[in-house]
Amino acid sequence: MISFNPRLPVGESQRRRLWLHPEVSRWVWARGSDRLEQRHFDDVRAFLTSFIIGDDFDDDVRLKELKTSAHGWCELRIIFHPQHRMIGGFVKPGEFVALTHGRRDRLDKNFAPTIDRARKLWTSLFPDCPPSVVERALLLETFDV
Amino acid sequence: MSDVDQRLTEGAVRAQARMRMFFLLRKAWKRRAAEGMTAKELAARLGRDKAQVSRVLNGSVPTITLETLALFLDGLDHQLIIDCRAAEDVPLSNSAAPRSEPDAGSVAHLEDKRARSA
Repeated sequence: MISFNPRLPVGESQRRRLWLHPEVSRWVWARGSDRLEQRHFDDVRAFLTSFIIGDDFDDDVRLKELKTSAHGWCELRIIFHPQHRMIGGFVKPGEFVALTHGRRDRLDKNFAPTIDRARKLWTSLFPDCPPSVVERALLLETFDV
Repeated sequence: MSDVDQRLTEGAVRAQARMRMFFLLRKAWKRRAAEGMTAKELAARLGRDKAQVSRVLNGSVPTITLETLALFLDGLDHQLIIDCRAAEDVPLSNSAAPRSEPDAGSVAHLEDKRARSA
């Protein structure tokens, strides 16, 4: 897993950790082939930076628990078009692991397989440690120092 | 002052600004929604279509501008404060510097554990 460690805005410090599957990390750090795409990836990284500097993610617009048979699976909902979803879970409060991702408008048909792939990846990576299942506000606390 | 190579790219600075505006909007909206305001009421205040207002509130738009933020904050009875401060004046309290050593339960620790048991 790759830690998301962007340069932070002036005066900000890291308060949460974000771990990315290598495939997700490659996508997050993509440059984009034109101005629109570059702007999109800048927005993606800014959104994730907001997560790690401790901004408010305690609502379904930005972080939503998925309705699956198992609890603890969440999606980070990257705002602004084209919206993306990053699927994963909290390994502990303040530490989110993003394993798969997809464009919102293309996930309608592929959402279940994307979640399923995330679950399989999680199980292979952390066989004895299911995603944390506590209240969202607690999951979003500062990571343990 | 920080070194040039430590600065964010122009694209990153602009994106951070957009994100900051959206998060400010959500902050104001969450407060008013908790007090009972609906998107329909806000739309009426702004003289806009409810669906359009909801899309902005949910970030389901290409971007957000300062003008849009100002308009929505006015509708939400919030004051928009534009201010700045020098990096050296930012308080260092509450900073949680990332650690190099993984703790029990963190991803790095779990990956180490898995590698050892393999």
